[in-house]
Amino acid sequence: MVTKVLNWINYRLPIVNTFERHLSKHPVPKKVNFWYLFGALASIVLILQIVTGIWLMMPYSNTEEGAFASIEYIMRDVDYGWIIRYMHTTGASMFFAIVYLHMFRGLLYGSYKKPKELVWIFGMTIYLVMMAEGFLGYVLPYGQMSYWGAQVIISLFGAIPYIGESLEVWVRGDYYISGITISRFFALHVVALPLILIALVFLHLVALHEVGAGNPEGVDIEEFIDEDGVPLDSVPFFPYKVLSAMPAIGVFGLVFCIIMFFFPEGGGYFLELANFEEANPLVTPEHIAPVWYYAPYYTMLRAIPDPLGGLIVMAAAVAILFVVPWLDRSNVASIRYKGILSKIAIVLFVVSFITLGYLGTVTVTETGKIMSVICTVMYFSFFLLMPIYTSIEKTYEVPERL
Amino acid sequence: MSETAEKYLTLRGANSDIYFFQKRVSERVASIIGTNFVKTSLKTKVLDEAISSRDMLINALNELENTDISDIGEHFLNVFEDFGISAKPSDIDDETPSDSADQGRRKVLIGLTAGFAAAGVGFAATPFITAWNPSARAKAIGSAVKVDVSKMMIGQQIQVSWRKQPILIIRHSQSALSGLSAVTSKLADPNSDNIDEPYKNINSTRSLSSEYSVLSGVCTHLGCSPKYYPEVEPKPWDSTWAGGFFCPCHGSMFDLVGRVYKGVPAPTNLTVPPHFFEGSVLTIGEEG
Repeated sequence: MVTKVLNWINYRLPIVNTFERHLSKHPVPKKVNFWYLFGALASIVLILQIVTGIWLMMPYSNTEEGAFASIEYIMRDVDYGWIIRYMHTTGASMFFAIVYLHMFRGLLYGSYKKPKELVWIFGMTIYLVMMAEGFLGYVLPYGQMSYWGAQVIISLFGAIPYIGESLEVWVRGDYYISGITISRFFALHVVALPLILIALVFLHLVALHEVGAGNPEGVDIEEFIDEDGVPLDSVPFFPYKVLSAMPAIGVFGLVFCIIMFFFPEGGGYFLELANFEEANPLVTPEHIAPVWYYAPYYTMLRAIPDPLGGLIVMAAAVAILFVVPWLDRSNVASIRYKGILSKIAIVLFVVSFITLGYLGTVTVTETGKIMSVICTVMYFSFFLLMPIYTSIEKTYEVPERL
Repeated sequence: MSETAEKYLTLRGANSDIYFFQKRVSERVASIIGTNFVKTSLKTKVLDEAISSRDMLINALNELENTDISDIGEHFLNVFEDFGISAKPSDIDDETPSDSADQGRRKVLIGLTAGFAAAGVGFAATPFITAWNPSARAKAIGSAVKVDVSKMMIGQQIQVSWRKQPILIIRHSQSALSGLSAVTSKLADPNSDNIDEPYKNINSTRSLSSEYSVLSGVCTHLGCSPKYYPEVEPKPWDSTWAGGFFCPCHGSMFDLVGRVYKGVPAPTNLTVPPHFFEGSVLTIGEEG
């Protein structure tokens, strides 16, 4: 009976074929390591964010008077409202953690090398939209940090010459961040950007399945294929990858639950303490810091003593990631077979990125200022010098088979 | 046939072998032969037959590398056909109207249609873009506020709200005002030449009063609210702090009358909102 129905549908819409081609029988490299798990984890968290987001929308009020109170209402009066909200806030931080690790995997193993440039670009666009999505969502509770964080970010538009100030008013829809701004951000956060995000994830996956997943060796497994055109060094996605990912998903779920139940505020890094106070346009909190996932860029913004310059540096820091496929001139993909220069460069890059992140969450000091300038220079050097160090260094020979 | 190629053939089977060569053709040829043929290429598993038909394909590919597709021999085309490659010159050209006048008219029409469509999109986008401007209600809120400043203590700072923006009012002591010139060398723009200062050179307070400063409490960097630290003592951000305003967001420093220090993120002095005094009553948001 089931087969009959499936056949009937499949004749009109090749749902079974598509499922087999892109999921169950999709060939993936047989040897990969834990770095290759984060793509799957990211899609799980995306679904979690959408589901919890829909549930949070129901009791939330997108008005200046009601927004903060409705968050308290969710936390105190709605049955299990607190768990849904903490799932959403923990999910946001975890989403960024996963995506950062996923992106770092890309840098390590050259997941952007020809012909995977488009996969990388779609991925980077997802990251960009996620940053906007995270920011808009952060404003919605209308707490002190929501207000002043939004004040800083929207003022960035004001740094653009000539049109800046009117652009700022246009984005806010008012002369300060008011209910008008909140309801506008609400619409973007729950409808516009999620739609774009889902479309981009679809493109990311379709582009990936067209060119095939990579592996830590940087071997092109399609060079050796069997009579049916299936790469010899591949295994079908189901059951091999699904089952081997299960324990990892379990561990991730455990970490997620520990944070959600015991440290939902993450020591002020996931949910900032100043945001437990309602927005007050007249008083800036003593210490303004962004949530941890924006911190590196925020430090760069602070390091430049000019708003327009800061804005340009910050935008360039994200934009430069898009062109990595054309900056890497190495003839090998994986860091395993790259030379010593690439290895040093990536270590320095990680050090600078983490230091920038740390500096963004603490108060400005004299040494901090100097450190942030040094780290900003290091961050950009990693990319701008990439064409040089990847082409002059001696690489090692990549094996033919995985 | 080189030795390496033979090695690949025997090691990996003829099918993979063809794939190996296919991966190494030029981009031009790759665009003609496509990427899918390898999956249906060799129908035989007999090694001798496989070798000979593979060699035929390689010869055909070599020929294609060297000549244009329209000049390629009939027998090579047959080889391609056997492998499921449609390498025939496309016959789209025959259907294209050859009349050049028609081509020109078509271009004009396409251009005009696209132009009108773009204008239409522009008109259709107008309500969506302008709906983001402040509404009439938002514009109406924001009239002037009045404050009685006579109750302020000397050295005290109070804050009032105008258009939901913090306005800082400071009652300076005479010693503080006379000490202002001591920090002038550290300031980026001591005379407010870089901004449109409404009450320039009237008082050292930058306002219409010789005792009170009236400043917009919005940092000119990114809009945070700078805090008042009047005490003259070493601070974490400046070991020779002479009193003034410090922005907690990005560390911008201003002196007691809101003039910006050199080398901080804020580009200009804090602005002075329109105001006037009637006795001890200060009105903010209107010119006197």
